[in-house]
Amino acid sequence: MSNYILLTGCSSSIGKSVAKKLSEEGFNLILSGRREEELKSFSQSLNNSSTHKIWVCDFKTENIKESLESFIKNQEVIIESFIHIGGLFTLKPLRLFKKEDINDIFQVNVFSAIEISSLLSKKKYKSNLKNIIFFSSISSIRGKSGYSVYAAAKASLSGLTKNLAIELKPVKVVNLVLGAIMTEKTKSILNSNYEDINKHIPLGIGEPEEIGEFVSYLLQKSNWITGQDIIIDGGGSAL
Amino acid sequence: MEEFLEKISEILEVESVNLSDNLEDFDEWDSLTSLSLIAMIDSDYNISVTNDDIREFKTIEDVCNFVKIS
Ligand SMILES: NC(=O)c1ccc[n+]([C@@H]2O[C@H](COP(=O)([O-])OP(=O)(O)OC[C@H]3O[C@@H](n4cnc5c(N)ncnc54)[C@H](OP(=O)(O)O)[C@@H]3O)[C@@H](O)[C@H]2O)c1
Repeated sequence: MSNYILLTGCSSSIGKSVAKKLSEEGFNLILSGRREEELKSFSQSLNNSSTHKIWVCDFKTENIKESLESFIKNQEVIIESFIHIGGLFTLKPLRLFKKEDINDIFQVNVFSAIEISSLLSKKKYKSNLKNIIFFSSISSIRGKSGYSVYAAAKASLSGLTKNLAIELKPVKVVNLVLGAIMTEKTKSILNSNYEDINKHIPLGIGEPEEIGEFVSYLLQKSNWITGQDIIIDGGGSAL
Repeated sequence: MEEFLEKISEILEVESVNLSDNLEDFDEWDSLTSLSLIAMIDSDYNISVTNDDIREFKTIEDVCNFVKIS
């Protein structure tokens, strides 16, 4: 049995960047998302590709705990760190949200985080668990129109972080609060509005690589940070 | 077509829309509603629309033509 890092949302730009950095540093990874083919071909591009594993799970429709528990058993893996990059972002005015949209947003951003943490906090898994890292958004602390439901979901990760840091100690639990990062998704939303957004961020829009560096620091060098929201936003919220 | 027009009406918060209606004439037509239109066309029709495309749209018909709905 070997130690692994579970990374959800690995088919996203930020997920891929974090996975790439951690694979270069020699970690064994469990890459997760819904798109199996995408994850497979991505896995092959990584260092030590044969050691990485793929857990396919749709957080909207599947029983997450059951799926992960049987994966852990079949693959004989030990999960040392859980990094929850998977997320669902929907930008629209509040009046257009239907109940199912709201459920989906909370399911993918928050309930999945709770369910996976819940499974990993069972005695047989918890003794091996060292880190939990959640991915939140600057919209959870700075308002913008169109972001309300997503922001509400992301904001709950902050409460989860503080409380799990106490309940699960000595597991370190950290919530990364990200500002705008240049990803496929961001490109499609911003289109040609980069200049506008750059004006509002002292250090400009972020690159996914920034995040991988920081995650690597948290996993390998940091021993005394837990229960915190850490804002990584190029100074956007300082304004 | 009708379904598409209904979705546009919902975004613009009006009872119904006509092909000849000008987008600029709707009270609710602003940057957030245009992003909602982009998101709806992307998720329901799998077509990506850019902000630049949106700026070219003058009437409801322009939107339908872009999405190739007739
Ligand atoms: N980009 C930004 O500027 C920004 C800013 C602040 C915070 N964030 C947060 O950072 C994280 C990564 O952002 P990103 O922009 O790179 O992500 P993204 O492109 O929106 O990708 C989302 C990821 O979540 C997975 N996912 C979506 N729905 C899922 C479901 N139902 N079940 C399981 N997995 C699902 C997707 O995998 P599949 O498609 O394979 O299912 C994908 O890997 C997200 O949590 C996001 O909220 C991003």
